[in-house]
Amino acid sequence: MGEDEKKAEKALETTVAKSALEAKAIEAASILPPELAEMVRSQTIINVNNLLVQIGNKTTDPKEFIKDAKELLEIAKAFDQQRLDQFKNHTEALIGVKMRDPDEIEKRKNNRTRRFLKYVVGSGGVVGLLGGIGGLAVTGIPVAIAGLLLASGAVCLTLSAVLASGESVSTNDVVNIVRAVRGLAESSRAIQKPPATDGNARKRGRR
Amino acid sequence: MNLRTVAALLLSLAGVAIPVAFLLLHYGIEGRVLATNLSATQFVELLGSIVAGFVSGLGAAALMKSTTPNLGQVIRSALKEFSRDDKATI
Repeated sequence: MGEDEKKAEKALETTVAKSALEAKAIEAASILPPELAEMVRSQTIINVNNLLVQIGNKTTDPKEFIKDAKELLEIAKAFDQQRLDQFKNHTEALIGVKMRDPDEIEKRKNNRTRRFLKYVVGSGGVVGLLGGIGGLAVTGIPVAIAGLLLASGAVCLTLSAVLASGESVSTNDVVNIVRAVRGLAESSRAIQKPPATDGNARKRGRR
Repeated sequence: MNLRTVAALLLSLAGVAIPVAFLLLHYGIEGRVLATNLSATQFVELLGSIVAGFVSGLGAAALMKSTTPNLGQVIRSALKEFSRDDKATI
């Protein structure tokens, strides 16, 4: 009975220690960029299970085993903490270098400006189109002003749609858009046009 | 500011300025209209200004974000596609 208890206690301690270490590694990996997460995962974690088995083999006294196991877990915890601190310092140093890099600073500045322009263009599009339509519907604004609002709104909305997508536009994309517009016009013309042949002519053609 | 950005800006401005200039010439600064009294011609003119804005915006975005290094190539390709005659090619 005493041996069973000892085994159960040992297994519990092992599982708890192992899962705590693994949870820490997973937590660290989940909040980090992929390459750093991979670095954390690749680093060796203390295998507490093996060490506890070794302690269990060396001692027969359950109290001594628990004492040794506790000490071992403390050491493992301290080691793990030290490893995490080291990793944190390493990452902070990397981030510090990156923050001071002139290219990075310029890139961040450009991104900020681009984001600001995106918001300005998007809001300009919405305000322009809604202002034009609303002005015509409610207040009866001058036609030229309505045209100005509508045209600038259309420009801004189109620009924001393309710019906000974040994708590059190639010549092929422009050609595809022009082709789509042409196709739209042709299909509307085809719908309006009456059919050139009747059903009998089609049947005759099949024969 | 490179040539492509300047061209995109000019295209955007033209897309707004041309329809507005046309509307100004046609109706003057005081020519007012309410949506309920909008005639078919006025509707088409206002729709035209939206289409002009859309086209120029599309062109400007294509110029700004094009991966094609040559500005002339972008314009040539678009014009070539626009003027393509389906009947002749089939």
